[in-house]
Amino acid sequence: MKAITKTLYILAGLTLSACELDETIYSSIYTEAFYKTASDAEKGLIAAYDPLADLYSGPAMTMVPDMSDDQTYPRGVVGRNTLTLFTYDVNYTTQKSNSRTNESPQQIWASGYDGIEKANWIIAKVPAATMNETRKKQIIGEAYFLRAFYLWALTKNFGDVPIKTTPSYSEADAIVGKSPKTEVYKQIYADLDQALEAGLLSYPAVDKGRPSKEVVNALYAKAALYNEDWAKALEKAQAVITSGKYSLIPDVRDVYRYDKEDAARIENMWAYEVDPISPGRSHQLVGLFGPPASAGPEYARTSFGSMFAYMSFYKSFSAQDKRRQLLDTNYVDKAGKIVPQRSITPITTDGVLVKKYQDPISTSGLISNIPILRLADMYLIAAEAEARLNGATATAYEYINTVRKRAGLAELATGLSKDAFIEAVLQERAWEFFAEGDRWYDLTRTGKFLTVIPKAVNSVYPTRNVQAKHKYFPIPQDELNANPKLEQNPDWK
Amino acid sequence: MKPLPFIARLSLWLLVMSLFSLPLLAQNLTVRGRVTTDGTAEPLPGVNVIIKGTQQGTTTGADGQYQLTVPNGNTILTFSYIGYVTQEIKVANRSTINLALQSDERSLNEVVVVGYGTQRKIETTGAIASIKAADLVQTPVANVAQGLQARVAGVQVNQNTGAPGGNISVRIRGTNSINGNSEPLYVVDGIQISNGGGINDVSPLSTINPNDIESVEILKDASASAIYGSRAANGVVLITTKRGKSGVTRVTFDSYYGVQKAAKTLPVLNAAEFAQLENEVFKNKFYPDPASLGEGVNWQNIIFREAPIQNHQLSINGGSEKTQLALSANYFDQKGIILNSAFKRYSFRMNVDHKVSDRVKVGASILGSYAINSGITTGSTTIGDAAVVTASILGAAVGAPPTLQPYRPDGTLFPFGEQAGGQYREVTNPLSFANVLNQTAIRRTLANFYGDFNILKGLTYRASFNVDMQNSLRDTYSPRANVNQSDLNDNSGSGSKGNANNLNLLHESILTYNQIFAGQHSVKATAVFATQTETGNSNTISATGFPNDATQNEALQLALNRTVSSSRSSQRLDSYLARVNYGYKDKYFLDLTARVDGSSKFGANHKYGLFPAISAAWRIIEEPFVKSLPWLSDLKLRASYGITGNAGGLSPYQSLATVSASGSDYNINHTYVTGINPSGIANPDLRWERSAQADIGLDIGLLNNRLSVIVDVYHKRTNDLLYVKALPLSSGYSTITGNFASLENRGIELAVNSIILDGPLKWSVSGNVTVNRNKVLDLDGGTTRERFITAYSLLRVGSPLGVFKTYVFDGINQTGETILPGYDGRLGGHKVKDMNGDGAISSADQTITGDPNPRVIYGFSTNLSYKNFDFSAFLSGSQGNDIYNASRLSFEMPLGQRNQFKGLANRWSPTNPSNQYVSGFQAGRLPISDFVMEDGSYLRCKNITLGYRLPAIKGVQQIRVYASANNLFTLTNYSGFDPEVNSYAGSNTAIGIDNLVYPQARSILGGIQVTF
Repeated sequence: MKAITKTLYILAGLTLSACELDETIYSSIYTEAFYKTASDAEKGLIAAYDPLADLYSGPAMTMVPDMSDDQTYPRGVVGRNTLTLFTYDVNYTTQKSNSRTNESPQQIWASGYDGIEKANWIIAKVPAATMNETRKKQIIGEAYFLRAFYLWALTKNFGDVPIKTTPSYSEADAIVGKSPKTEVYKQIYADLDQALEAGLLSYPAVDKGRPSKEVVNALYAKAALYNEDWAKALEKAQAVITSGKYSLIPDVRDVYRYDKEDAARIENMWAYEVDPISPGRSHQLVGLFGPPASAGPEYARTSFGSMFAYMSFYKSFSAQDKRRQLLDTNYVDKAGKIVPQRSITPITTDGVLVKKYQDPISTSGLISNIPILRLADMYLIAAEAEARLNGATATAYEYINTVRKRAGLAELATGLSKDAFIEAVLQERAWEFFAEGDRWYDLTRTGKFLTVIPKAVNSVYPTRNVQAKHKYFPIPQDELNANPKLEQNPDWK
Repeated sequence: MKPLPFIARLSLWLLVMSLFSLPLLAQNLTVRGRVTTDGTAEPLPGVNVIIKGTQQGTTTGADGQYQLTVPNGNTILTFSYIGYVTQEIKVANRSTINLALQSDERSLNEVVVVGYGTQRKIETTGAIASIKAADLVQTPVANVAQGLQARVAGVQVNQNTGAPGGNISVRIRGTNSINGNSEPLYVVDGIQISNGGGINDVSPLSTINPNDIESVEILKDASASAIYGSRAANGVVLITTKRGKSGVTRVTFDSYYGVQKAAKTLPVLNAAEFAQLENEVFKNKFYPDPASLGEGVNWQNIIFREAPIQNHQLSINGGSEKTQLALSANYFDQKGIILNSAFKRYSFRMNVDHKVSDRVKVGASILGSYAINSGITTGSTTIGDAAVVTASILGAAVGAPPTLQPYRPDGTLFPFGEQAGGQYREVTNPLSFANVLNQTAIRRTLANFYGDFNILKGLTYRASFNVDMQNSLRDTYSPRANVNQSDLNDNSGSGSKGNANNLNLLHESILTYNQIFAGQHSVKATAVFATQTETGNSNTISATGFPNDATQNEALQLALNRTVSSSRSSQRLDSYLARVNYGYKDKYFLDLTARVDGSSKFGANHKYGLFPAISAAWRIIEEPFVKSLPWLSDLKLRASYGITGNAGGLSPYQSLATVSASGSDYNINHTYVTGINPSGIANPDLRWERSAQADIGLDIGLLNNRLSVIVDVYHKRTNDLLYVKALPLSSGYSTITGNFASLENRGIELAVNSIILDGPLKWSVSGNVTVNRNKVLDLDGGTTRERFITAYSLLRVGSPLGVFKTYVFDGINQTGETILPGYDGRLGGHKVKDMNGDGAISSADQTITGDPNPRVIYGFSTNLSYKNFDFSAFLSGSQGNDIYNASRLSFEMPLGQRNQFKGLANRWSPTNPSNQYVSGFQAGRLPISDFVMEDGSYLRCKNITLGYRLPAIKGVQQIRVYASANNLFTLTNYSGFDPEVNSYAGSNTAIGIDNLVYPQARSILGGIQVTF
């Protein structure tokens, strides 16, 4: 037997050189042969944007926080109510079994790291590419920016997370343990510092969808705010405001008008880009926020009535606040008849419609971008950071009043204490950024979620059992199973 | 078989006699007569009648008659015909010699096809099962794999779908893979082809005409299959097509025509019940008077139809001493019992063998076929989402509101969005699916050319060249007419055209040495070098946004949006193999086999794999101590052990780091742009899966082999199983495929054949029973203990593949009961058991609630014949397997807008405290519980045939007419369409799942077989 084996091996060795069994590749490229040219680098960079679309096509980036917060809630289908009711588990079982991982925190984990890996390849390989040096620097800068953004998306949802700054070349590279939040922010800062040095263009020269230099600062400001690094937050927010590149649109409703999207870019600094094109990237918000059975032509060609604002939130607005007009308690049906609030949805008689994502015309793709960073945010970050550092100063008032004024509100009552002022800023943020995936993080970073959420109830969700552990989402069990170095968040163990 | 010494003595005596008589009786004599088959007394054409010791002779004609002039009255005539015992008859001055030739089926010279050659059956040491051609086509099959079902112990054939030409999964000795391929290797006349595909794909095997097949051999154990090395671990199916025989040309015409219909429809709510439920769900009076609506439309009756099936085959077989040929032409046409589904095949075959000289023989086989399949999506794998499940014809037919109409008054399709005030705009008219074009046309040519060279006595070289060319064209079109008027837009209508071609070239050099030493040591040695390359090319154009439906997908340039894709890949396999068969006195046998396979698909660190096997057999019947037992006619003990491989799950380039453009895109400046990114982490260790199998078998023949029994016990452990291991997503990738897992299959197989009556009334019975136990031993080196494949199918270390893990159903939440937190508990909703008693429902309360693997599968057939009548029946069954009837998660969950199964008429309400069916509700879903788990055991009458042979008429040798009923009845408690089901087709891990699959038809056929 052995002899036969031996003979066969010798025979094999004699008649064959191993190269005949080497593979010739036709329809793909070996990774080592890629990232060599300008177009390779551009294509590789687009790949690093792709996870952004995966984060926003659910969009997990707004649905996860907005179904958890005190402003908007879902119809209890396909597991969406697990967020509202805080009944999700470490497996995200319900979302998974409904094929709705794309609406769950697990998507944020998956796409966040998908983006980081793709950015890592750019950062590692593009420096050696043969191409125009200016554009090369920008490409690498965009990759640094995207990596920072993905890492921030991860840490604001999960707290301490793994930091990965080199590509996964081998299976051994795949296993990385997690780092404390402070280290994560350190990495975000470092990446944003790199992006600031990359010669990125400013608005309006910048491509629609790519970050301008000011957008880098805007993300910096917001990350610093969440990192409670008030000085940095203030510095960066001010840098954006004083750059003079952006300004608030006089009518806040125009920020969201489907037919004024490009005009709104002067305020809407960086957004998830969707277009009425096919193929193209898209999201569900237009359909979710419109009335059921596509009944409101103003909202969408196809809508499902799957997400509404709480009546209590609607009532919190002042009647003068133009932003309240981005909510509605009735709609006009196809026959031109006004459908009253009690008939908006069969699940409750006090449903409130959200009008930030209306697209009445598109049949293929969508017009409505989802804002990620807006100039208004910079004013409110500046206001909060200034107050946290120096109290309710005149500067702080100036920042918040800029936003209030645009909304048609009177100036904020003067003489507020530092805490009261900060409280007012948080309230202002609530009115300004509802349905934009923002409020939940204001509640978690300040700890207010434990007191606010149990009060945000209605007939659909009469009780909401939020607990301290819900500050951060549990790291998906699948991830822990696959990574022996990774530990679950302490509250979820 | 007469004892050798006697023959020797006889021959000697005859020789002496003839020498003596030669000068005395040197006068010519004419002998005539008729040769028939023993028993049935049918005329036997083509029998060679040779004057012994000469080349002179003749063959019998169509009526079995012969006439021959012989030198003298002492001449000995040799009557020989393949498959019959050769007889020598002395003329003895007779002028008429009629003879009945005995069938040679159970003789010692019976030959079976083995890998790279043939063997006398008595010499085989491995577990090889043969299926007769007649059995293969007893039922109307489009695909040879269908014909194997329930015929062979150890082979589980699951017809996952009843769609014409549809997917069939075959498992030889259990499922041996997790993420790899578990289908056996098919070898058609030496050409190795693969089978596989998804639930809605055309089976590649269905391009081969089963009527052309002479025999099928199934190599089950390692000893028999190791000769196929890295592709043998799932067993090997050797298919040999009919070859020409010298003698009188036989022309046969076979034809049948039949009608098929659905065996069953599923009971659903009628219009009145549905309307009442709708009012309850939506808490309104959408239907003011439900009771007045009556029965309404039963959509299943609209989408099912009576469908014809027909098959016509003309075969010509004949040849001279030097050249033999077999020709056939076949037309098979099966319409499906569901609208818009059909399979049609035209096939032609030519097999030629020619003796160039005493030393050289050449031959060729060419098989051409053209198959057209119209497929239809019947179900889904999504659960609990009626919107998705009803996006298929069966799902739509079950879920369509019985209150709506199929057609407009003018007879055109009536989209639901335009009925009932648009209430059902999101529901699709089931007939829309009948308007969808989904057609695959496959052109296939399998060709072989060989030359045999007899170098020395006993030493033969065969060079063989094979080509398998396949071209397929896939046409799809979903018309604008299916879209609700209000939803029609520029992007409506979608179509595609996909071309794929595959070229598989194989060369084999086979050296065979065959010698008997000292009259008792037989040695047969085989050495083979084989090299195979396979190249695939494909391109697809898809488009949406058609101006109208006039051109369907035949002018994609008219469409608004188009996407294209193309790909090319190639792979190569080089093999070196050797086998030695040694036999001593036809009593002891020892076989050694080894194959080395080098594949381009293997990772850089493992380019070559070795696959050895050893086996032995002891024919105890030859031992003096049993030879004298009159009731025992055969007894053989076999044992084998070997290593085989499986690389079916590997695709080219899989071990390498490549970049990919798929799933990488964004909109920049209002324009859609695509990116390119690394597609995964390279695995240079990627290689074949490795099975070690031990087999012990016993062949028993009793009462002159009228009762034969074959028993095999096996244990198969497969290591290095391909497993898609989860990577931390933080690496940027979700999985890496590598050789991480292992599992085992153990089993017992029993096959029994018996001839109970052998007189004018003949009666034979055969049956087989298979017991296989499968167990996952390891997934990824101990890290993962269990992992869900679907929301309920589990991969779990220590359990069989695909066990079900679910909540345990505990009735309905009744008024006043405490509803445990955790799941979507509600009054009138499903209640599940708190298994761990922690007062809440969580995933920890899920438990193993079912096993889709049968405890036993079996087949049983019987044949009766009396005079001109013949009758046969064929049953198959499966016992002890569970089915997860996932369709009930959609159709026993009343969320509104979709119809429900009949049980929902008795749903929970405060006044009707049903403990089974939930009340109507707008949100929520059924928990994944064992509520929908059902016993999938069944006994099916697959076929009953009654035939009658008409008296012979001039010019026609034989006419047989028959009628058969297929899938006549199925005894089962299963509530779905068909217990032989899997929505996940040939999946290794998601098994026994029914989310509405094309049910198998019941058919009645009439046929005629004419031999000229």
